[in-house]
Amino acid sequence: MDNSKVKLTIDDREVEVPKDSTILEAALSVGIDIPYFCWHPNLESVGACRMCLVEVEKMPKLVASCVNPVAEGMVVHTNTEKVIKAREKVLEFVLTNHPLDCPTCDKGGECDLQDLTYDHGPMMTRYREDKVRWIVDTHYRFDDLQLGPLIYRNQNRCITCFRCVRITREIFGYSDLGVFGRGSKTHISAPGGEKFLNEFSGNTVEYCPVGALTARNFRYKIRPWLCEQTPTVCPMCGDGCNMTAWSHQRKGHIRNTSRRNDSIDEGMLCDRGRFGSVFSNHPDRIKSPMIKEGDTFREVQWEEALGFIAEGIKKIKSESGPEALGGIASDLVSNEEAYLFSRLMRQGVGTNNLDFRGDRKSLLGAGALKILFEMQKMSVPLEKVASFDTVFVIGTDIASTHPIYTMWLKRGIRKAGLRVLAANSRKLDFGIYSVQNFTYRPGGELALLLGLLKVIVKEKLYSDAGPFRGGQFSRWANSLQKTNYDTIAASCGLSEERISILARALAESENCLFVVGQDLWEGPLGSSCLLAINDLAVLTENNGNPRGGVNLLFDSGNYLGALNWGLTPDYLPARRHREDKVGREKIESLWNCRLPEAEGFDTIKMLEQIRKGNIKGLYLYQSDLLCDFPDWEYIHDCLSKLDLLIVHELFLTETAKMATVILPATSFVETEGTFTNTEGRIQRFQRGAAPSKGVRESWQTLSRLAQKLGAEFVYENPPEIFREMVTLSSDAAGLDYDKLGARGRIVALAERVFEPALYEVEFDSYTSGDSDYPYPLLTGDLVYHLRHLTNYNEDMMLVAPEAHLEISPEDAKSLELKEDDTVRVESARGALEVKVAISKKSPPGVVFLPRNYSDKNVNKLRDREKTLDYVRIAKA
Amino acid sequence: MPEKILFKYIDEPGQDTIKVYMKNGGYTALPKVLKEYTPDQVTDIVKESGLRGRGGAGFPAGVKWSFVPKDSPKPKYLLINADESEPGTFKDRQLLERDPHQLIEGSIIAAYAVQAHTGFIYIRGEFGYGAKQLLRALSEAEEKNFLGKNILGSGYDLTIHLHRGGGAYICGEETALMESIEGRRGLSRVRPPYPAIVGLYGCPTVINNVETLSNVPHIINKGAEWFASMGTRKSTGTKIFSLSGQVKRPGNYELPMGISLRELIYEYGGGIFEDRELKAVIPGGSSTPILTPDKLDVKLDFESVVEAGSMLGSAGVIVMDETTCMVNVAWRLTRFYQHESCGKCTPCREGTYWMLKILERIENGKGESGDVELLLDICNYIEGYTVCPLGDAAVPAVRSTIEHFQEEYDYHIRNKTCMVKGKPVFK
Ligand SMILES: Cc1cc2nc3c(=O)[nH]c(=O)nc-3n(C[C@H](O)[C@H](O)[C@H](O)COP(=O)(O)O)c2cc1C
Ligand code: SF4
Ligand code: SF4
Ligand code: FES
Repeated sequence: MDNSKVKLTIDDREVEVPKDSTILEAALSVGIDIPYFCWHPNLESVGACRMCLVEVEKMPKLVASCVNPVAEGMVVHTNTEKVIKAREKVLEFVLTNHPLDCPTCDKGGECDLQDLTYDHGPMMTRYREDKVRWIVDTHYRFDDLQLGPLIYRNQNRCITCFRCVRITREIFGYSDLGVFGRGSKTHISAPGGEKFLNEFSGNTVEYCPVGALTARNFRYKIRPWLCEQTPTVCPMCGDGCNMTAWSHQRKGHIRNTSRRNDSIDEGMLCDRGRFGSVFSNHPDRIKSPMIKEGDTFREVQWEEALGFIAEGIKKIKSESGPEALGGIASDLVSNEEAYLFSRLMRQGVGTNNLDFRGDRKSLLGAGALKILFEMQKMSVPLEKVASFDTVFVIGTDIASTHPIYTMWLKRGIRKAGLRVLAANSRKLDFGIYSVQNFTYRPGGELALLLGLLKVIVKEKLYSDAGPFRGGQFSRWANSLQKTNYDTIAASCGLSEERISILARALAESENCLFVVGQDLWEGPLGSSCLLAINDLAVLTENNGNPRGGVNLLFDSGNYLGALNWGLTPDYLPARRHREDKVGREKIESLWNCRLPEAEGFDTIKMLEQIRKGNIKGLYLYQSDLLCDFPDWEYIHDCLSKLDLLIVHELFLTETAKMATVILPATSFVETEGTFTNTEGRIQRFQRGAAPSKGVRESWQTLSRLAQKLGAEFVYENPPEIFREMVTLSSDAAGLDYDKLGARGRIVALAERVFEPALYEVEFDSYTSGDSDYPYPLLTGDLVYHLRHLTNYNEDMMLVAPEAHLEISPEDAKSLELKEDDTVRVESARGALEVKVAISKKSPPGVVFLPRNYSDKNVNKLRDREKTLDYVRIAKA
Repeated sequence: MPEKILFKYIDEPGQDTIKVYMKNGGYTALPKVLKEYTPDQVTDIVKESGLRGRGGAGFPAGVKWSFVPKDSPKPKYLLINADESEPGTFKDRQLLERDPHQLIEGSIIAAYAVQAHTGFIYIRGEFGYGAKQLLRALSEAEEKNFLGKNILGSGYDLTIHLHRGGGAYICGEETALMESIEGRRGLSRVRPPYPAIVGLYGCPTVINNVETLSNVPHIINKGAEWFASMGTRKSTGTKIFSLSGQVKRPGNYELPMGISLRELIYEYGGGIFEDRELKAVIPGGSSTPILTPDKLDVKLDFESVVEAGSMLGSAGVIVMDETTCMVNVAWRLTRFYQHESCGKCTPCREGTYWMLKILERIENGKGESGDVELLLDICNYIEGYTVCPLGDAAVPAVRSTIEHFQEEYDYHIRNKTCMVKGKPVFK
């Protein structure tokens, strides 16, 4: 890269900037303001609006500063008579065909056109002709056309800066928004008859400099200046984009806009975050504690509810011991709440029966987690992702699970020729950006990984200078011989030749990043897959030092935080192992208590214990187990067996309806704290909207309950909790809550450096089918649906109102199914009637159903004892 | 009759076939180039000939070719601009319909000079017959191995594709043309970078007009000196003038550069239709300012026309007689530019629309005092403020008619009717 700089003069100031800057960038970098409409820092310049004209000495015409590069010795004037006049004229031109309907325009108050006209515009217009008016037949109000479910267009207001189309295409790789017509008929629309909908569509609204594009959730709702803005962090996936939450005194949290963090989101948000995380103002929120009486709930005072709970817990404890109690939180709660819940369960209740994972059939135990922690030392920050020459994405449909991560990959492809190789059992689709797909059969992930290792060893695609040569290495290499290619090919469905192509691409790349989906490392073969990925990275010397890396993806807003701050049975807060004496003592002295000795149970084991009658009381903290757990019948049965089911929740979920006692929880906009994103970055979110009357912030509730159980912990506020918990890790100890900064801080919580090692991996796979039920059923999250939360969001329910069965075009053809036909999907466990969506992502013979639809719950088809569920499909 | 180069065999039946073309001396320049000259030598010969672009701007062709970087690892492209859509210009059409091989031979030589292995002819969408002719001619040339792999055993490969245009005037502008070939909307790109460095698909690209390239075989065969001996010192060779409007014999005339406007109109064009009085002439296609009869003796070469206050442009000469209303002319041409503005940049998109609306009002007897000043002010803030030259091109029709015939505008505004009797002729 060329890092050389040039010197130029702007408005009599000497400025030194990188050689490839534009004049506009140079000016902005030193705080000289040049007005602009069409330019945007993330986009290629097009020079369309002409608002940014400046005078450059020795150039005959004014130049568009957004496209003209700087040059050594250049002399620029941004404020001459000529420039000022030009701005005035450009604005006069822009306004000729503008409806000037500011009083009814949603952008009022945050409109670039208003602001720039105010600053630079002519005092009056000389335009007296008729304006071009775009009348929309199906008009809703003021000629608004619905481009897609979430976005409306008012073409009259459009100043044709093309930002919306450029963002959609350049940054996100989609072509579902375009420019049509020319001259005065130029307009923005979705291509013929299609709708504008992709997971990033909301960004067009934010970056439209005028009110031409508006979002369904905010249009005609409220004036922006009547809202309060609060810095927050999106909890809807592991990327952790920064947002500004907008809330209104009466209407509560009403929308989000981006809050640029160049280490994560570069000012972009996905629709799930931007729109989908607005649920705090939903009328179905639980507003009061409730105790079950007969078939109904009685609203009670906080003290009564907490007293009831404390009594219940004490009773079980005295009758059956603390092991008869357990707690399961969610992976969306804050670090502070995770820590507090861990403390409550371990200290207040006295049990290590603790988890936060409620949607898996198998879970990583302490041993596997140790490997996972070790492998995290190979991780690289998000902002570096685009600079690799190869990225190998495995085990995730990353565009759905991590939209913003995918944005970085697309950027790498566009700007630096990054090659993305993807192995998954569904195809990845990056729009106009290319991905090389290696689609394996469900259950064949480990087979593929072993196949890759075999090829690399067989073809000697590793460097001889590497550290792993000699006897130990040959033993490891020999262990690969145990599995032959035939077995591998049969399991993963990819031929030796295909596997070799992939292996060579990985081994021969300059610098390869492994991106590992949570479905892979938390799947049925999770721990073996982790080892195999480790081996691949180590063997090809892509272990992050100095090149390559491994990023384990965490799908939800605070999975990593929950893991780090004590929500697994064996790891205490700050990843202190239960049996690590030093750590244990440190916590005991901090908490002033004795920690429970007994081994704890994870979610799956807790359920077994409930079933056996050994666990009698369960505390669900924002965990919707009944919806999430991959075996509906079983979980329903378990929950019904409990003597005491405490549900601490935002909404009256199906799970909550089974509770003995319900406590209202607060959402991320109603409290403050920190989240840990998939990189391990700790970021602060602040309190935006007040919780409804009578609702206590969750950290208060947890503390108060602990007090009632005799554990004296008293906190003033979440920052105090943060200050306490970080003292437990030498790595986090220096963190200052008030100084996490605009970009947050990556904290590894690791004490030693990564020591590369190769592990022997046993072959395993789970691909066998059953002739009665021929289709393997995959499940996962949609961009537009996350947990039960999005059931309470109008936008998300509008886009994805119900579960659709995604099947391949080939299968649709052979089953004679059309889009939206209703089918009966049946497993040995149960049946669902759902609509069909034909998707090129699905390979033939494999079907997909999204999780977490409470009425069409895919978990009714699933059996916890089967690693892979199979179904049959018939037209209903 | 002066010597013709491009039109020498234009009326000969069968000249559009390779057989007749070769009988008349065609495809002799190409073998000579491949055998005797290095690419740089070809460029030098064309430089020496003084051949200037016939697409409008008059940029020296050889100089343009020499801008293509020789050490670039990227493929290079030759684009043949056959989008001819400037109102008043219809010369390329005749060249490619009647003598397609002359163009193809010139193109191959140009491609060789810049070492391009792929060329595109971008032909105006409406030219259905022309496209058919070119397709046939291309396959004829391929059959004879004038195109394809290892041309005539020289080791040089070239494929030329035909691309039919998207139906917009702007697509004739070189960067919009590239966008169009790449499959996008024809929107002009910002320069720099210039096409010679970053052009089609981001690669070095040379783009030339049909007439420009058609001259090349003759320059090779007869030498740079011969070519330079025709025309004027700075505008060498011949030029095809598309003569239209109110003249007795409209049509294409190939004449040496520097012939006078008077000679063209009165000798070759046979004078004004029905012997009326000449009122104004657009000398270089609709994008150039009008000239008044006092400029009849201007020499039609690049420099002299500029001196007279206009431009030679594409040499589409439009003659207007005394029955023409100049406000109507401005309105009609502005309607064209307003319709053809690509919509990308503000001054052109909004400015042309605004001007059109004002002119429409004046034409319809609803003009008001101040309109003329407003029109001139709009012109001032279109010209020089746009992304591409289309915006600039929309200005002359309005500004030059006001400059020379403001009394007609004033009359319109004051009397709510036209000053000229017997109009409209343009409709
Ligand atoms: C709006 C606009 C339209 C143009 N249309 C044409 C055209 O139809 N044919 C053409 O040869 N050049 C056209 N040009 C000029 C081209 O941009 C370019 O300068 C020319 O093709 C270069 O070839 P030359 O150097 O051989 O003249 C146009 C330019 C502009 C600004
Ligand atoms: S809709 Fe908005 S962003 Fe899109 S072109 Fe128009 S003004 Fe620009
Ligand atoms: S000057 Fe006109 S044609 Fe050229 S880019 Fe601007 S709007 Fe498009
Ligand atoms: S910001 Fe430079 S032209 Fe629009």
